[in-house]
Amino acid sequence: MTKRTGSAILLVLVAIAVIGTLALWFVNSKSQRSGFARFMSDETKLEALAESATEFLLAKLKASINKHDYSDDVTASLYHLVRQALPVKSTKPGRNHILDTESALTVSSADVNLVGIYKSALDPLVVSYGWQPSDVTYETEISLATAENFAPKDSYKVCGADSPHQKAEGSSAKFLDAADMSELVAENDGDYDSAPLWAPSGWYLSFNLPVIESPHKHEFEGTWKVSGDGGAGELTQLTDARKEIEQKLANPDLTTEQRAALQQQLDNAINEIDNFKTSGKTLKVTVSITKNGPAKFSTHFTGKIKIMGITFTLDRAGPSLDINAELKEHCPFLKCIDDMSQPVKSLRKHVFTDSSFSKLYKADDFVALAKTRLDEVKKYHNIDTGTQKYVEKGTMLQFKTTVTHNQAGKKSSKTLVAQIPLKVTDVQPVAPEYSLFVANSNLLSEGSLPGLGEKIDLNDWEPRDTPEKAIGQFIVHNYPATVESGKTKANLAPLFKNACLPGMVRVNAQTSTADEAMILGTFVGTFDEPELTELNAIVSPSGGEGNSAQANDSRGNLFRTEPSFIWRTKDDNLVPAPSVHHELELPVLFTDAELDTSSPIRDIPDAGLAQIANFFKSSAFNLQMKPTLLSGNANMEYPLGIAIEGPINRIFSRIRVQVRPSAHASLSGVIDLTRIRYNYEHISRYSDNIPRDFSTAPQGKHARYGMHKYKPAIDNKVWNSNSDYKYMPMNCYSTLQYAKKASRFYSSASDFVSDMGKAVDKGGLKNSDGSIMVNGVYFIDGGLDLGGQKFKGNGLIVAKGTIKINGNITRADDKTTLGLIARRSFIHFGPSCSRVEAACFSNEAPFSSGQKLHIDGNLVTNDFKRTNLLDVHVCYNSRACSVSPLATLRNLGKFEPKRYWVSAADNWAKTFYEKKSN
Amino acid sequence: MKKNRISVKRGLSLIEIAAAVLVFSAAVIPLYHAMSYGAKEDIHIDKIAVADKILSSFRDEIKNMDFKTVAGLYGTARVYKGTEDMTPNTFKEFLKEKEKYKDFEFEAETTKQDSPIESISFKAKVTWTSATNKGERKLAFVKVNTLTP
Repeated sequence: MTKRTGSAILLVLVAIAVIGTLALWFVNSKSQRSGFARFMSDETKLEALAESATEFLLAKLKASINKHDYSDDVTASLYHLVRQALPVKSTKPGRNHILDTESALTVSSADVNLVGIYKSALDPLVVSYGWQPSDVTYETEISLATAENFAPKDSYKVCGADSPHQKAEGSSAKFLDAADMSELVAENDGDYDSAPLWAPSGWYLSFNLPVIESPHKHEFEGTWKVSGDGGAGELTQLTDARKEIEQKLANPDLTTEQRAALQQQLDNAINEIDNFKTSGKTLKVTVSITKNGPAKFSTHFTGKIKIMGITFTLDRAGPSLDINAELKEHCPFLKCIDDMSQPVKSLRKHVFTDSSFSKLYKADDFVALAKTRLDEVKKYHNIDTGTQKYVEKGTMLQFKTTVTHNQAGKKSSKTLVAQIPLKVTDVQPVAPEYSLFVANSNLLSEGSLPGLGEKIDLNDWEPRDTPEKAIGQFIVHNYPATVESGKTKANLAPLFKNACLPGMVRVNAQTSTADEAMILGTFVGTFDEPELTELNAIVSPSGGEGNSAQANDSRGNLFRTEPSFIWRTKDDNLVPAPSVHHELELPVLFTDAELDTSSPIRDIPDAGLAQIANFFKSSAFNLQMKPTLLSGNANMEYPLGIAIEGPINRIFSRIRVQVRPSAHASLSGVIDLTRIRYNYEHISRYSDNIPRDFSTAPQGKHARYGMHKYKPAIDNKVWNSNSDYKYMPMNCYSTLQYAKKASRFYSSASDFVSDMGKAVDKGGLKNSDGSIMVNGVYFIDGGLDLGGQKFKGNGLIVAKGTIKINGNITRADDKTTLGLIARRSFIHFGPSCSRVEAACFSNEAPFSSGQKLHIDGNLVTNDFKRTNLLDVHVCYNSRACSVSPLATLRNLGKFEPKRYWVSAADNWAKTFYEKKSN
Repeated sequence: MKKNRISVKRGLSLIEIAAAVLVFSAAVIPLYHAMSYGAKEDIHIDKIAVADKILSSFRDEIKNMDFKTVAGLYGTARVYKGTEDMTPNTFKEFLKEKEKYKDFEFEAETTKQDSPIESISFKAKVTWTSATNKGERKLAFVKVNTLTP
């Protein structure tokens, strides 16, 4: 018998052990899975909180980034974060420059209360999880992850961004080119010889007026009735006697008897004077102006004279004598000497520093505003202009939010990183400091326009259809003006609460000698529209006293000045002129048959200034005579910078008049001098103060009156170029760049027009008040028709093709700046367009249909054809061309944050959760 | 003389069988309980996962909608129960799971805030029955109006 023994217990134990292990493993894995599920749920909650927090930050950013008038730290930080100027990190030809964001400033919750934006909204959610709000902490950081500028495709450069601008001429405009705060100073050109336009104190236009400081006599003859206290001539004796008696009576040591006797003599003298008044005797009145001061000329105009302190009224007994005409005919300067201080004061009041007008010309106010703004900006930005930096950019804005839940020592956190694309776009119009800028260069044309670069005929004008329609005027006002009753009028008063500047003028051309210089006529206005220029109003011969027609003409000659003249020959030699013709040098309209054979004016006005005044009124004397004109209110031909930039010679208009010689002196039968009836002397402030007798030709340095000699820019070879980007208008980007930086891109004009009809809250451009929102750059990939819109905001409308304006374009308010840019074509001002309130850029020559057109802003063109612009006034408005005084500055202006409109994409470009580091 | 060999096979006694059954039972019963617990736990976790899936789907759909549409659907502060106004994909998912498990309820409470930043808060909840108690998962998030003002 075999016995096999074994251990069933052992077997069972082994089985139990295996089964138990399996059971444990099974249970454990389920527990792990359950724990994992709970963990993932916590992570999901943290993610939800992080995403919600980031959404709140994005909403706050979008609400803040274009808030120029921010009031809290968070808004200020976000506003300035995106407007940082970044240096270039790397470049590749034809590609956007990569900007250095590593050293860029960031905004974090450690510095400003970013968490406060969303915490209160998220706390209820935290509570719903069964957590305590105090157990959840947030950290947020917003930064620029990457940034690029908007580069052109080729070697194109933007003046002001990629290339510096050529510095302005003259000290008065120096502050425009300030590189730092220390250079931001309003200066004046006090040197009369080099730029004799601004007096040392303040910034104003100096005006030479003749100052009579020598005796002059003019005699009136006639029969006069005398009323008043006395009369001249015979009366002189009586009044002398009376005075003598009165002096004796004043002696306190007289006895009673002596006093009574003198009193009796005085009474007799007075009786004799009274008797004389009604005697009807003839007086010969001599008006004398003493060397020590001018006489009261108003006494003459009103028929009163004052002799020895006693006023007499003269009434002509016989046929009336028009004293005004008499004097004007024979003694024009007598008119000026009438209380000479008064017209000088008036002139000073309206042109010089001590007046409300002069305030407008003071650069001090403008510079002060720019400095104040720069001080504010410095708190957030490094305004060093030494390295090339870009504010305008496309950037990826990064939000990094970390949410941490800490409960009973157990910590879990999630970090969300989200990035959204932004565009920071410069909305400053092109060349905002210029009234008129003609670039005339293929550097800008993006193609080749024929004829660009050559000298432009600024006076080229041909009649259209019929002469009546050929108005032909193109006038640039360097200061703002308004249109009233169809007439353009300088209107400065309401515009200078915030300081404005006069405009500058530039016309480029490639010339190398003075002979090749372009010629620009200077404008004096007309008698019909003397208010077109203040200077014309000053010199228009009208505004006398009494009941003369001129006295009732209130339009002109507030200052009762007359143009003066000097002896000059045609070739400018100061020798006695045998001709009876005489040139009036001061601004009057040019017409000289001998010099300008094409001029339709052949007749020279008759002698006498009254005739000349009539000539001003005549229909022959109109703007057709010199259609290319520049004007400005008291600084015409003298825009800021004291130069019309470019190879341009300015000519004064002048007129030849006949004078009536009162005598000849001849030697050997040859007339070698002509005596003019005006027998006076005067002294010029500009000259060496030597009195001159203008009965003969002045010797030596001649005296000039009125406007100083204008230094033509042609002398300065610096301006003789249009082949360098530094002579191009500031802020003129290429078509591709405008397309890249557009905050709204329209592939056709119809889309843009459609948006103009749609409300803003529906994604369109129409505000609730009917105005069209213009913020940022709107790019239309083609032509565009506009007209009848009112725009509000700060922006540019850029069309690749032609901009046709069929109705008026207006700005909704003073803060609006609007630029219309026909980047590759031209602006056509249609027949229904009479007013355009915008800074206009036209690559090809702009065209107006012949109606009276008023551009309130500025006009910048690449090509220019004078014949395309008829009856056009460009009225420079610096506030409408620039978002702020600081923005106008050429080097520092780019730091003005208001220049930039920031647009964000609708959706995130990228979101991810950061992995936790071990 | 030769003897015939007889094989003697020993059998299992009743006591041995009883002991074996006893031991086996002692081992198997806990194992059964463990497996049973695991299966319940599996279902529970599955339901958690389904609930999370529904909640995530709801959140993702809201996240991808524009604010105007969300405000139109959920702008009024109230509690949305069941499939009332549920987002479409979530609705499909929810019905599928409900059919499978014959369980789940969904609820979303919304609150609208107009200032300083316009937003709608969501407190979403999915509940289900379980052997021991009611299961519940929550997810809260905010939909913010991020359109440029």
